[in-house]
Amino acid sequence: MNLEADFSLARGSLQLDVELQALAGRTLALVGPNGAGKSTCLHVLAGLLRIARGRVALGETVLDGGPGGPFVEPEHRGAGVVFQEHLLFPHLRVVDNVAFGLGARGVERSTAQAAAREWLERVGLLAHAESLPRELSGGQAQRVALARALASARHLLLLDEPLSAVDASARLELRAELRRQLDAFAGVRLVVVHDAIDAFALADRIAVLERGRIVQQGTTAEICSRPRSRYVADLVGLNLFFGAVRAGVLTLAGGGSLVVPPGPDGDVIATVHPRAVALYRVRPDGTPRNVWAAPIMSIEGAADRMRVQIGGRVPLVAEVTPIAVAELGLGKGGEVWVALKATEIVVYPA
Amino acid sequence: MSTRQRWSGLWAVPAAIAVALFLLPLAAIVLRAPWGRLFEQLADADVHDAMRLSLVSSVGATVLATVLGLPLAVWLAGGRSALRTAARIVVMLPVVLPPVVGGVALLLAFGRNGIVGAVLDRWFGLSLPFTTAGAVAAATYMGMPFFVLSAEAGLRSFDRRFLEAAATLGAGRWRRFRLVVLPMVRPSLRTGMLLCWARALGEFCATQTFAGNLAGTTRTMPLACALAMETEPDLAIVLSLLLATASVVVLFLLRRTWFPSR
Repeated sequence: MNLEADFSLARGSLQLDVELQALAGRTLALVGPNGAGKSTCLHVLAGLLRIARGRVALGETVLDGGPGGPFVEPEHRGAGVVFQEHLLFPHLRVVDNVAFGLGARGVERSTAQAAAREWLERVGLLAHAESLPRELSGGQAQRVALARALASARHLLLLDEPLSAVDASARLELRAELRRQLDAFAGVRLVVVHDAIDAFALADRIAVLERGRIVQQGTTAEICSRPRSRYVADLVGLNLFFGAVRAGVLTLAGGGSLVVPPGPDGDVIATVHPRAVALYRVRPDGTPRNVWAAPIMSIEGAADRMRVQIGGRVPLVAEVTPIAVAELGLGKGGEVWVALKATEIVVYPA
Repeated sequence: MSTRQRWSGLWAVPAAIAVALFLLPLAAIVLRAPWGRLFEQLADADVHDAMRLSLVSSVGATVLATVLGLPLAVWLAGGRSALRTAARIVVMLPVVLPPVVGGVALLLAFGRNGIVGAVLDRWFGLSLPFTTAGAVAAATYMGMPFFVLSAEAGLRSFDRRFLEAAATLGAGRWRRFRLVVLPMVRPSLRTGMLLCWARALGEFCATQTFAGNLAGTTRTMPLACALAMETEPDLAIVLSLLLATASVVVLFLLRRTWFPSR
């Protein structure tokens, strides 16, 4: 049963107008900056918030038909939710937390306990079955929360930043495990994340939510190769330009221009990989069609790759090696020659 | 800082006097108690009656306050409105009301000729004054506010997101309340019950005014104690000692709430 949602809702200063589809047996990642409405969206799907307009349906069942329409209470949605702060019941042992949903659905106590232990074993925490939640680490608590959601979920699995409360060292391991658990669940899986790596690691499809609207929705490959907003471009680490093409010249919204590969005229989005941007101390000779001098705004980066933020009329980021930074004598406030091959610019309709 | 230390030295004198003011009367009871004849005094049948009545009225009041006060606290904690504020003022009144006024008011309402009491008497033959039920009613009236106050505070500080989590796990309204809310606010409820019980145990004036001072029916330990003060001071001291012990036990049970170690 697929999930179809098309709804509006105001929450404080945020106006949410969301249209999204999530397929059974697939994981959809909802990504977006803080305050974009991701958690609100998840609360709507879980039935914890009512919509002001539209429709949320799971297969043939209308979960929320808007004001005056049908509404399925959260306890009847067959959803499993992992909340950001895990929200394990502090007074219940770990095993009772996991068994809670089964008990609520009328499963006999001994059966529920046995099933809960099975789920705990699956997330590797059977040894902590008798512990209280406060005795667990952040990563363990998150695993228990996942087991609790999985134990009670039937059609819908909703995870709100499941890795946010986990420290970096546990993250890698938990991410891989989360992927396994998600893939094993047959229903609709929706996971809210704000980290691009999490989104690509966990999901088959990505929906990008910005300021209450879905600005892009597609497979991870589509999102990666053709970002349609600054946020997504930053997320996948590409330079993004908006502008109009006329006779092979892209005029940017900011005023600069670039020579681009041949293609139809019109409003376009263009991306450039930071590694395709070449930097020189003096004006380079040869083939590149796009060559200009520009100020260096900042240089930052780790051991093997440095990101050089370049200002001017075509602001972009170049990725170079630390050796190159040293050889070119690059420094903040200095000037540098930028060269960009037309063939390295990917152009697609806006 | 030296200024600060000198100041705290100056403060220490009145502070010590204040502590002594509380400690000395308690010490006096302990020092003057007829320890040798303690059990002899306690063997008296009238004392047994008073102890039984105190137990019945204080426990009865705590049970009634919990049964009636919990739904009230749930409603009060459910939001903010003029009606809730008005209800809260009415419920909190006995905390500050002189107990004798409480007794008079109860009598005017539930006495044989009271506005409700007359109806109860005529239709059901029920009469509260001069009955043990009346003593329970007076103790409930004076003790329940403490339970409601504490329970409401606990319910208000309850993190509602746990309710959302329980809802997504398939728990209906009642199950959420029973398995999530109640256990999580249990410390506040326990505090409220203890405070209510302590207040009900010490209840004197409202009970005497409303329920009377009948041996074996409404004469609880405080009433027996006040009476003994005039005829049999040693018995009064023994009863005081028992009541004071109960209070100390209550404080001990409340230590986590009221006296956190840090």
